[in-house]
Amino acid sequence: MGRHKNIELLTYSEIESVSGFVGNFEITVRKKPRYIDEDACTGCGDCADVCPIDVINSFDLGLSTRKAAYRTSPQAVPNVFTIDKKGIAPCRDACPADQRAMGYVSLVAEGRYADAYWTIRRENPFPSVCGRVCNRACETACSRGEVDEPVNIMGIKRFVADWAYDHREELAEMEDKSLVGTSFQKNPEPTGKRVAVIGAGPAGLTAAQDLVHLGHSVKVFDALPKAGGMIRVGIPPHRLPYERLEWEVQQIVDEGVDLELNTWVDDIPGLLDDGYDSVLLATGAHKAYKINIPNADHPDNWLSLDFLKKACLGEELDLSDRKIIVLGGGDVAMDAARVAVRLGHPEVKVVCRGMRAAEHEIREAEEEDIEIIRGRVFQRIILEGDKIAGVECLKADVGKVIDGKRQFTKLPGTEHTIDGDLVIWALGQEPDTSFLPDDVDWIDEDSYEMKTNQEMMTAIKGVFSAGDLRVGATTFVVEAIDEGHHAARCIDRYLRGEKGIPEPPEMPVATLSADEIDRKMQNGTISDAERTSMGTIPPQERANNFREVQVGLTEEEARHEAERCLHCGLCAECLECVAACDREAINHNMLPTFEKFSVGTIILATGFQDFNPEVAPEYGYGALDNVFTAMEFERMINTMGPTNGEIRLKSGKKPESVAIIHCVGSRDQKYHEYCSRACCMYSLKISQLVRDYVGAEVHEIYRDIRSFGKGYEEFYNRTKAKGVHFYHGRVREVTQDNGRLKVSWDESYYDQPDHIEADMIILATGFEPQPDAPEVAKKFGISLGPNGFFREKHPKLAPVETSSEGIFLAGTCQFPKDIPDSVAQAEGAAAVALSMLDQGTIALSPSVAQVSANRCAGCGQCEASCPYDAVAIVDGVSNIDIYKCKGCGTCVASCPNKALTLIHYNDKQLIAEIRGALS
Amino acid sequence: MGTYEPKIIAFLCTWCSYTGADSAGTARLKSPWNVRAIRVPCSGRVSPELVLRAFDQGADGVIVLGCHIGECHYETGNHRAAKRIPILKSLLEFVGLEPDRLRLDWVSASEGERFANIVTQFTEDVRALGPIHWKEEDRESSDLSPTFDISLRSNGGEQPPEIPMDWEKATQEIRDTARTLLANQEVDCVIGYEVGPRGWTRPAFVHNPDDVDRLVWNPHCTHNLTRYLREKASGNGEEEKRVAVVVKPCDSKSLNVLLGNNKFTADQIHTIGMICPGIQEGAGFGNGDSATLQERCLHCGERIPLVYDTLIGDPQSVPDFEVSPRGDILESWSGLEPAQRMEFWLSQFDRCIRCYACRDACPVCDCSPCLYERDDSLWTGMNISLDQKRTFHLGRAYHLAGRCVGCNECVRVCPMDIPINLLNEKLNQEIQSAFDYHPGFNTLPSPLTTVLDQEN
Repeated sequence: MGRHKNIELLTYSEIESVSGFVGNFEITVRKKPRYIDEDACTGCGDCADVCPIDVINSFDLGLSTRKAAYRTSPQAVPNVFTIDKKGIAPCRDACPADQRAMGYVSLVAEGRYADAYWTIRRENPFPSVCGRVCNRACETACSRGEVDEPVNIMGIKRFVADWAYDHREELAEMEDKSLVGTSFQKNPEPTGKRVAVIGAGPAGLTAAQDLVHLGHSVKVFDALPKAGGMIRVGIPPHRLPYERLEWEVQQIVDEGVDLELNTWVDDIPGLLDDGYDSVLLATGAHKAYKINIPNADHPDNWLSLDFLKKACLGEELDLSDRKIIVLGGGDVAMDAARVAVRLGHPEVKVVCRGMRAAEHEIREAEEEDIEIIRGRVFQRIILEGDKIAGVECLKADVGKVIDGKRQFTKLPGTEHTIDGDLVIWALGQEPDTSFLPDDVDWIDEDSYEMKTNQEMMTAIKGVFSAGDLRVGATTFVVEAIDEGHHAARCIDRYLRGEKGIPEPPEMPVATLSADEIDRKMQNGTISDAERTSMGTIPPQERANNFREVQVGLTEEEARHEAERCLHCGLCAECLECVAACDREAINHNMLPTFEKFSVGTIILATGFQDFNPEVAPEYGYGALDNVFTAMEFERMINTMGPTNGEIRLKSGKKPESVAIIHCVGSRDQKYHEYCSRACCMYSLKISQLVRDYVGAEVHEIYRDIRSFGKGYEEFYNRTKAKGVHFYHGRVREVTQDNGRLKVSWDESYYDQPDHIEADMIILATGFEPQPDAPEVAKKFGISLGPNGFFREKHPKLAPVETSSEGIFLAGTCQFPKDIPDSVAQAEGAAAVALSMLDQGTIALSPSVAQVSANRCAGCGQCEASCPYDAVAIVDGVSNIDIYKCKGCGTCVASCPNKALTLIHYNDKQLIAEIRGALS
Repeated sequence: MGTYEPKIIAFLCTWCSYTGADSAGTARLKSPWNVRAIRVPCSGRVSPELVLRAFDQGADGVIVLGCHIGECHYETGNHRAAKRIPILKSLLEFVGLEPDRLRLDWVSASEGERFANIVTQFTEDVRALGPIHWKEEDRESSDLSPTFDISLRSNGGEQPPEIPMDWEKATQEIRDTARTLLANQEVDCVIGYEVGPRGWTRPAFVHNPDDVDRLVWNPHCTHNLTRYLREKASGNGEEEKRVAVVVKPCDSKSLNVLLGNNKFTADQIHTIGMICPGIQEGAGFGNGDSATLQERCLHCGERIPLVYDTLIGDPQSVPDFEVSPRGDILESWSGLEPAQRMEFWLSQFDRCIRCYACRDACPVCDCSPCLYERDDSLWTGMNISLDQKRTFHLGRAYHLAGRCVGCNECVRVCPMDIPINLLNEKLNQEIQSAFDYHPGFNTLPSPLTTVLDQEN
């Protein structure tokens, strides 16, 4: 049927709105993004094979799991896969570099470290760096933080980066999946365009790699002897072993980036003249500054970055007999202090207004005998002879950081001197713009940002700027990487015009409610362990050397940590499926699309919902093992189901006796008064199957057997003949006794037991209206009956029609029924709809409202009171749309002047009736 | 009276209670024969005027039965019944009809037993009340003056503060504004106040910028000028006109109601809003040199118009203040027996000479022709018998429910001094407590026309 040429089947779609009237309905359908191209997908399942995410399989009613890339069943129509994605995970959303944190965390949980590495590399060329030095925005956003503590995402990333470094030779042999799902290519067709990048820091190198992958030829210049920028000369080796950075830089060079170090470039326009089509300025913020206090110009006043640069580049420095004062409270101050300590273990004090450095840095610094003095304002440097003797400070009341500035009040009269003979200034840093031509106004005076347009281009055409230089302040590595990616896209668009790669679309973010988090934690697939943090080597082993202080997670720790992830987005967006799909059918950036259809008639066949027996505790469902609903049993006996068609208990054994309880949720004043009509017959069917398949004793506890259809009574008799036991009764409770389930009931006939014991219980659950039936009814302008099912126009004379002309009902959305009845009703609905379409004309009910325009004062009370928007004030008088009017007369009653009247129920007629009735 | 059998009209929704009555019959359940069914497509079809008509025609009780809320065949038709019928009931109760004579309830098609129970109980309740004595023919004496005292004035309470007002300056500002508007042809007409030849302040219609010096602002500007807007703004089929109008805060509320009722569009009207210190008693007739404010002004919480294009007067001069509502006058009625209330109101309605002055002065009452002035006598006859006057006043009161802003023009112009404003105030009080709706504070439709809150 899905392939009939006149049937267009819209799956994975929802009705957004319905307007118009019979013969002229306009329906807007929202097609949910499948993230897989229906036309390209062959249903092979390669995507599901590589998907790291397990999701409870609702098609198997929770009895099995499936992958986030899935199809509901092997018989699905259309037979294509869908990616179950709630949105991008909060961790990815929070990351400036757009790292797919949930993706690599999920892959690590599966032990797929190489895949995890490619997932990280996709957006980040410096995993080793970001696994060590990061502000961890992802962890702040992590939903696991609502339960206990966030997943140690950075620790996992470092583990993957370390694993990759240790296996770098094997990785080189593997397929590089880091470009999968991106616009980049290995060895792309050259565009013939040349780009010069000034600065080999994270922003410059990221942009260079992207541009090379887009086919441009790139040369990176840097004044320093080593590549890496601030990562290389600002992050000391006890935090980042440089061989790892060098390996990562080498990978970028291997991709075809031309790197020229030790080169100071100061003729930007000259580069353009030399044949470069574009220039990217990414020189960072390498200029530390002092504040203007007396004696700050003494030569023993060092600038933090200059000091760090020397140390990081391996210059021999001996500070063993110095007394060092580091001024400042940020990460750079801590780096300077901890580097100083390692150069001969001098006395080091860090003096600051307030501490802003990462907590573990402060802790580790204190372990290394660094004294931290908070709440001080520097007054002057004290000289004794030609040497520094100390820093005179004032105590200060330090408040919060507001707008990036720490609030403080100096306390007068608290002057005191902190002793020391060498001052290292680590108050902050700014970009060095001395290499830029003077004739351009580069910097915005208010924000210190470099003036660029939205495409990151500076005032000189073709010259772009990114990273700390553009922002005008020091930012984190991930932010610089993001700037680099963005700059590469801007330059590509500049070089290629419209064909350049666009900005990625904004995707919705998946957030978990407290309820959802609870449910996820309870369903057992997520580790409830506490967070594992990275440790450090002992202080005595590190004080005098540059060994890396932090110790990465072990493989076991990393996997356990990864299992704590709550999978907020469902799909992890690792793009493993994209790599696996030979048909290139997968696109993770799909958005919902809206399609409009004009139709003449509508048939609603939205079905029912199974009664959830958890709300009826007497049946023990959910609380006791081996109590199943009939639908669960149906999945169990399906050869494609969770047990491959075997009827078995939780223990794996076959049941020896099975009890089937009728009328669960139906014919029960507590739940639903109505009879669900299909349960008796399916219960009989289940009895026969159990008898045939496992030969167990079957007991049916029923209220009344309602076998009213053609051949049904005969089926009942056959079931009895198979030796199924029937007990008339109303089940009181299901309990567990000595490992066996016991069903007890009331109202049993004389001389009949009132309980039995069984291994397995199957609940014949009734039918309920779909939970969104009221919304659907509202959208289509139809009404609901007392039970919440859609109401037919007339129970006997118009059983498939609704109060809205042209909208028909089929199946259980109208009321519980079995398959033959559903099919019959559906065919009836189709026939009525067809005859309406075939006639091409529609006979409307004559009983509609009418307006006497000369009496209408246009007050609009009719318009406000019409349930169908059929009345509108046009040119000051009421106007009835007779196609929409259903003849309820509500407008007529609200008209103060009775300018409106309802044909067949007009006031004259009603008043005459009243008169007659009272005479 | 032992043989008294009440006559009961039941309006039955064809989709539920009508079938429910059928179910009752099929189930051989007994229902009283006193109940005479009128089939309607929906309880929302039952207009309060029909219910009044049924009482007029001699019904002793009226019951309206619809589908349960949420099950209406027409989605929300019954929501309207659920709002209208109780409001009508409170009006009838106020004029002395026992509340048990009108009932609204819900019966679904399958609830035959419920139908039988409800109508049986209702019949018994009405039987216990006996016939209604409000017809002219029922009354023995034609002297209908009440035999008890009833206060028509509120007992004061918290007085509003005095607002300083420079009448001369404001007059000049009105004239300047009017001159500019007319000279620039921004409006075709300015509706304001002038002092007539006998020294009475009266409405003025100025079309010419040279005439603006007729306009005045004084403590006798009592008329609600928005009443003239519809006529002046209508282009009579040609291009619609623009009108400027001088409004007091109370008038600005009726302007909102008129805008909500589509009488004209907001851009047709230039509103000259006046900071109002209150209008003096007796204004509109004679010089009104009484120093006391009109009662409505004593209970008016607004001194600045709710809408205006030009504001005249100093809004800074208006302090924050609260006034006691007029509820106490209605409360004083609650102690009365239904028979006493009916006696009072019949005595009042009986004095009515059916001159329609109240209707014509009302800014929002402008159907043409009025439902109660039709020659087909469908809704009421055209003579001045008590029955017809009663129907006119009750029907009109219901029509103004949710629309009356309490400007009291109706009482001011009534030559017989009938306190008909009390009917409107009673209904407004009901609407305020039921729907938290204050007519005139916005241009939203009356809550009687919209769906019930909990369903939204």
